[in-house]
Amino acid sequence: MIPLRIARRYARALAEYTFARREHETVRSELHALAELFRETPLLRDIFAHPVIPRAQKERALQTLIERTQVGRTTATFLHLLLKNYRLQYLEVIARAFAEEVDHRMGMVNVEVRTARPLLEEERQRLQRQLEHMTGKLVRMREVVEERLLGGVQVRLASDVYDGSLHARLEALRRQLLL
Amino acid sequence: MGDLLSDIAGTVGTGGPLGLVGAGLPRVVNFLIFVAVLYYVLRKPVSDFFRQRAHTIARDLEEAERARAVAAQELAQARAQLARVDEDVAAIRERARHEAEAEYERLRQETEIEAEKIRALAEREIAMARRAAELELRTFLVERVLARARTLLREQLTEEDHRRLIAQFIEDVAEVSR
Repeated sequence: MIPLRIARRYARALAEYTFARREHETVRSELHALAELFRETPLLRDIFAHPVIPRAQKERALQTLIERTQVGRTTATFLHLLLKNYRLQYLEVIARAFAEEVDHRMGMVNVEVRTARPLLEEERQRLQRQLEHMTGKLVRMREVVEERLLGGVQVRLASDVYDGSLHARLEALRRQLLL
Repeated sequence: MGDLLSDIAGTVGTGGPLGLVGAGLPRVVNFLIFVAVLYYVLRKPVSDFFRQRAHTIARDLEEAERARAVAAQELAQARAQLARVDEDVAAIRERARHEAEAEYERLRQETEIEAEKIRALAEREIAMARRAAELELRTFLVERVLARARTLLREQLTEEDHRRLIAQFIEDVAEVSR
């Protein structure tokens, strides 16, 4: 596995380039789609990682992939650069690092919101506002319905967890009773 | 010689008061001579024999006297020892009693110490087992109570309750960000 440090270096370089041309969102979504394709098709990743397959064949395979997925010119050039530097098999890590870099530059944080029942639109908007107010950044919410929580909300923001679920209250009660 | 004596006896005459003398005198003389010779020959050896015998008897008597004296002395010693046996036996018995008492005391103390250790260990084990059992029982009860609470919450929470809990959380976030 490629070190995260190297992946972030590529991500920062690509962010510099794409932000200047306002292509960062497009490139992020294209890289995300390609990373998903790599994840679902390990053979594809193995082709680009295999040391015996000649470079020319890998180039042809990549060109085919680019044509089929119809990614933009910037993304295509970046993919060729990764292939040249023998990093294309690590596309998933690099794409994730790029997404984080874009979020960081846009002042956006990813928040995972878990609830026992789906949020109503009005609740979603109020929660997003409050979270943005609390973090001082734009918030991208990913919602997960988890009946195990019984009721209430659990918010995961980077490494912090704000747990207002009934499950968490019962767990706290359990710890208190077993002390 | 016999003939001579017979001749002498014949000459003197027989049948008279001197007849016997006349016939036996030579024999008597012969006998006396024989006795004298015998005495002369045997006097010294017999004398030596009896002297030696007397010495031997005397020596044996002396030996017997010494043995008697030694025996008497040993008897006295034995009697003296016999007289002390009771004291020795009493002393040995007393010493054995003291040693037995000391050994009994030592064993009693060691047993007490060992018993104390075993008792302390048993108490610790009992306390640990009690704590473990209490914890197990408390865990069991708590789990049962929480399981029941979860079931009740699933069954009885209404849509309104859910909305209220979510609203409460949003309020709490707002409170934190103030």
